[in-house]
Amino acid sequence: MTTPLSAPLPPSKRSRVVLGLTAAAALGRFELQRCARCSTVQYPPREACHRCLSVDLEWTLQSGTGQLIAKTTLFHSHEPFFKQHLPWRVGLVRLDAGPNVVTHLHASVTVAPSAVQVTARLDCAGQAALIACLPGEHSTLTDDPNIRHLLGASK
Amino acid sequence: MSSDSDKSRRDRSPVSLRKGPRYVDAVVAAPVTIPYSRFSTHGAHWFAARALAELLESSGLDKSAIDGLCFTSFTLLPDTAVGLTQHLNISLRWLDHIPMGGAAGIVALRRASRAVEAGDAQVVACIAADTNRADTFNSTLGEFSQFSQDAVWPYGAGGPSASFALLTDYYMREYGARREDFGKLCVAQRENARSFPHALLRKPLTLEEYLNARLIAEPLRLFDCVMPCAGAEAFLVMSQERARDLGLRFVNVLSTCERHNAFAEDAIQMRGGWALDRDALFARAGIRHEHVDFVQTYDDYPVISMLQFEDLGFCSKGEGPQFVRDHTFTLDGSFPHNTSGGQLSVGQAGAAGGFLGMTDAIRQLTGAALGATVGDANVALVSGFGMINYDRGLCCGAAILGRDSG
Repeated sequence: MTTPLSAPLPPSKRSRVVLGLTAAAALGRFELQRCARCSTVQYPPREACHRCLSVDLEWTLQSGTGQLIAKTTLFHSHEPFFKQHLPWRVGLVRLDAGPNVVTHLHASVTVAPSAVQVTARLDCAGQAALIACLPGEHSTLTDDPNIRHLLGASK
Repeated sequence: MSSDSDKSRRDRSPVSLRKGPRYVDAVVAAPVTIPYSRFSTHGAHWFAARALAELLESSGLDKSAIDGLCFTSFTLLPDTAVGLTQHLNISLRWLDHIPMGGAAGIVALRRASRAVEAGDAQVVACIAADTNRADTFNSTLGEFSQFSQDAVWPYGAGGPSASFALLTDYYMREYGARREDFGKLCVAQRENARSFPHALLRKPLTLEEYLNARLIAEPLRLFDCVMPCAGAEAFLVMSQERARDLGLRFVNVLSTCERHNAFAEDAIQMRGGWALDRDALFARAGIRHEHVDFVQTYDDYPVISMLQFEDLGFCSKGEGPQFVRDHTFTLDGSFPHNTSGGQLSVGQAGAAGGFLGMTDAIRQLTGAALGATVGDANVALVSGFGMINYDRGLCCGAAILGRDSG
């Protein structure tokens, strides 16, 4: 007897340092590493503070506010999950806290530059997914069908 | 070629820059291209072996005369250059494996030249070899770097096209570049490729075809994006005396520069490390911009060529679009650029894409062009750019090469 092929999932391979991001996202929180010594907030997650090289890093709640500085819409992807949901929107956000984040871009954000808010959710592969939407709009994330697919959510 | 800021650059160049470490003895010879194919069932080792065999064939050297190797590849895994020594049975006293991608040609030249001048090696083979199996490109991209795997690939898996789409989107808004400006570069390079036998894409490209091609990652369309393929590029570095003894045509290394992770504080990459080093680069070479007869930029996407025109000082920051409107970029026109047709026409054979500008510059400056020739060319600037580790390319380099007058 054959089993039905399951639908492809978003890529789930991550380094161990991303676990903190995912653990927080499971609780609906957006947390980034902050250096306990010099307070630098950084992303992507690292093994040490990129500024002072301290290895004393604390996962810290973020407001997620920032500027969308560039955006694109993908009409081609190398991964089966995204291929079936093209076109797919991606943004580059400069967080007010400092670092740049590459994010999924919610349909509410139509122009760059613009003020956005980044939120963290678990995607349907169980990994943290960062999504940029208009500030205060994160309750409407699943209005966007691609975000709904990403989160494995019902409307 | 001229630059509006030449005078100020001359006046500002401190003496210490001009007294930088010049290359006095090392020369570059025997440019080799192993013909590209869109896909190959061969491994990267096959392309490396073919490149080494061609280096020996074209130089008349025996395998035992190669005592140094500077190697780069994305698809040799699980091997490194160490494994390659046994695979090809070469015994070396100097070995380097460099992971700088699109800057690897410049970096290899720098490493090899110093090794030869210091006497650590007599003849260094610089080889970039990559295969392209149906599945290798995706696995290379998905595990390109830790940051890419953790923070870019899961966001649409668009690969370098997605990263360059973000840079292009920003550049167009910030500096008023139009799709037609990028298209002009792509069309001119395709024109240059028409006589280059190794180009996978030699059919003329019209601006209309460029503008109307299918979307890949907005605003990028098909002909903005380099085509991955399999192939190899290589050259030899040795002393001038050795090259003369062998009867090889060679070019002199006038100056080079290399810079990694420059301008990390910039919100988005609108300049590369060249901007820090161009004054010293030209001062050490003892030339000005107008002495450069042709330029080879790293061109996986046209926006990065525009950044190189600016950051290398051929125009000011933000004037890239106007600079493109002012020149033809063809071999027989003003500002000859990417003499082979560049990666956008020839294809991107992995790390060999970082060697392509170098090998064709050596040919052009030694009267050995495979296709059309840049007339009376004596000086070339070759530039490299590589490794989008997260949100920007980290490796920048450039070399100024001169025809040997002796």
